[in-house]
Amino acid sequence: MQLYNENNELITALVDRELPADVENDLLIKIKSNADLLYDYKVQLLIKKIVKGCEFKKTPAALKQKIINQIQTESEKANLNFDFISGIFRRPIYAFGSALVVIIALALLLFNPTPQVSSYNLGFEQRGQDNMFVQARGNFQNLLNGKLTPRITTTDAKEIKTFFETEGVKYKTIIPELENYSLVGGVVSDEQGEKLAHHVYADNQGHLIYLFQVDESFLAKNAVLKISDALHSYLDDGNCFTFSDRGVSTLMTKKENNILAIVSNVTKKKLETKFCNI
Amino acid sequence: MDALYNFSFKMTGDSDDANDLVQETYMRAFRFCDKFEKGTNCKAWLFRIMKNTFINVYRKELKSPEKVDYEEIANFYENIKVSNTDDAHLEKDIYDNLLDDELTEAISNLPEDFRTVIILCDIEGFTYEEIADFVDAPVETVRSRLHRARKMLFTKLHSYAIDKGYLTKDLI
Repeated sequence: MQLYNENNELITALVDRELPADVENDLLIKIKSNADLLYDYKVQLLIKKIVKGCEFKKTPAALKQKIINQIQTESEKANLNFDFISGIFRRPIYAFGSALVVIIALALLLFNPTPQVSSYNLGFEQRGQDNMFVQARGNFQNLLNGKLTPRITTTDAKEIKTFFETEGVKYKTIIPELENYSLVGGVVSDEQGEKLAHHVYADNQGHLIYLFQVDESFLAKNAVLKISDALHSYLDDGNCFTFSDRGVSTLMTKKENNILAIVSNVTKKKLETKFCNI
Repeated sequence: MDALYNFSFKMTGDSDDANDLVQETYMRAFRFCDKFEKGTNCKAWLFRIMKNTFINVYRKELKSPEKVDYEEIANFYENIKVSNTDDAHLEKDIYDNLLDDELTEAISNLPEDFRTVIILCDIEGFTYEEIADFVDAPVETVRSRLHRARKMLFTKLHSYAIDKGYLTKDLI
């Protein structure tokens, strides 16, 4: 029995060819002369063979494609950031102050990643250029790299609302006041003939909050813009959807008749505090 | 990718969960690819990411660690050993009659620590050192878990074989 206790686990290593040759030879001699050890050896060998022959599950083709698509999307985003950095250092005409704000914002984006959230997959299922979530995140990047600039620059919410109305926005817009943040301005975009409202906030530390809002009817039957059905239902149920990726936080919520998409380089938690209960 | 998928399927026992786990693993690997040291084992690196994802996402749902009465299993194993006068019940052909699903279920029912080592060793072909790195335990622990895992699996498959009539009760 003593011999059995000393060697029984070594038998496993023998079966897995994990023993040095000399130990292996010694153990084989012991096994041949001991029925208990021999039995264990046969069992270990048998189970290893059975498990090795067990059905090998191959990755479904649809899953492979889904992963490739996701990586491609993330890769494109990463390239966009890189182009922007290169652009900054090629253009000496950037005013020092503006460049500083942008660099701080970018540094926060790159070096202050926030943890993933449970609704992570709901974010990644948003696809296509006519998707509101995708557009909002793209617009935020454009805002950072100067491709999107406010058409009206003001800290007055009333002025921005008036601007939206005169530019043809047909729905009632919501411009909440945010503690420690000032309004920067607004811009109106055109999507299939419909005018859509966007406005921006900033604090004095280089943080930007971009808010894109549309009337919910614009998302019905994907008339002007779309979001996935799952996300739409999630918002309809009164939930606040948040997503954080590479230091960029996105929050979507429904207020009155509007769907709001808010993108920022502040943390997801800060966005939730500011927008989930407005 | 197949190795990761196969492992995740065997660990979660569910194709939807396996899909999510593989997807999440690849996205994390992509985001943290700068952390991968060139020249090191890429497969082991991906498996480590999968393990951490598995722990963070799936194991949270378990309220308490799985407990296993190994003494009971060891006694059962010894009973099988002493009750059989020949090696007929150790023939692989008998167990080849079992369905893949039955084998998969038997593996899935092993406690997680034991399931992990047996899949990594016998299906994925990892060395003890690689498994030790994966499970954050000494090589001796890996060897011990493997030893016990195979015994547990043997008692389970032996019972299945009797239930299905591939082995007669006279043998035990």
